Amino acid sequence: MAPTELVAPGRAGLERDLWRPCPSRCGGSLGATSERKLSHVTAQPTEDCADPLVILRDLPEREHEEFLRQYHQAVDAAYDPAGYQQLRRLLHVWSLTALAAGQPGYYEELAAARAGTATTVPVTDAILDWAERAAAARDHR
Amino acid sequence: MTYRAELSARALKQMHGLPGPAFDSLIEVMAEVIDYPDDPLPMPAALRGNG
Repeated sequence: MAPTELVAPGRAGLERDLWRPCPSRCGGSLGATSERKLSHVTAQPTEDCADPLVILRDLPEREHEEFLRQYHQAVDAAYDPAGYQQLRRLLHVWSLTALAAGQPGYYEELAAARAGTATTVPVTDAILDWAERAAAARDHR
Repeated sequence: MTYRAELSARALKQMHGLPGPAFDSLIEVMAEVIDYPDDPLPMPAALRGNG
């Protein structure tokens, strides 16, 4: 029987220890040798970016009031099962907003767009197959 | 009235290198905003005029 090397799990807590074959330590191909070595890999818990608490944490303070207003409205509407998708969509879009608003220069660029001083390119020029892609997106709704 | 999306230089820069699914999502959102500009999508404070 070929030897199998096991590397002891490391940190405990929220991390989960997984075991998987390590091709690089086996000459790059598991099938090339009868020896199997396992290496220790760690899986970090993934964060749900659409979690309202994560959104509030990442969203600039100035946006909190509007986010909470829309969130509470969507939560109320989600009492009806038909409102659930709208709540999901709202959280998704706000998670993107939190991401964008956290970028340096975000508000300055918005201000420039409002003032008409921002340099912009029509989407049809930036994405040459925009019409086809937008039509596909509409069909996807 | 019809609307057309305009991309800032920064948006263009960020768009390059987007993974396929992310690019598709961007297209979807832009198409939706163009079709339903009055839809109560999140409106950042700066655009509401109190930023």
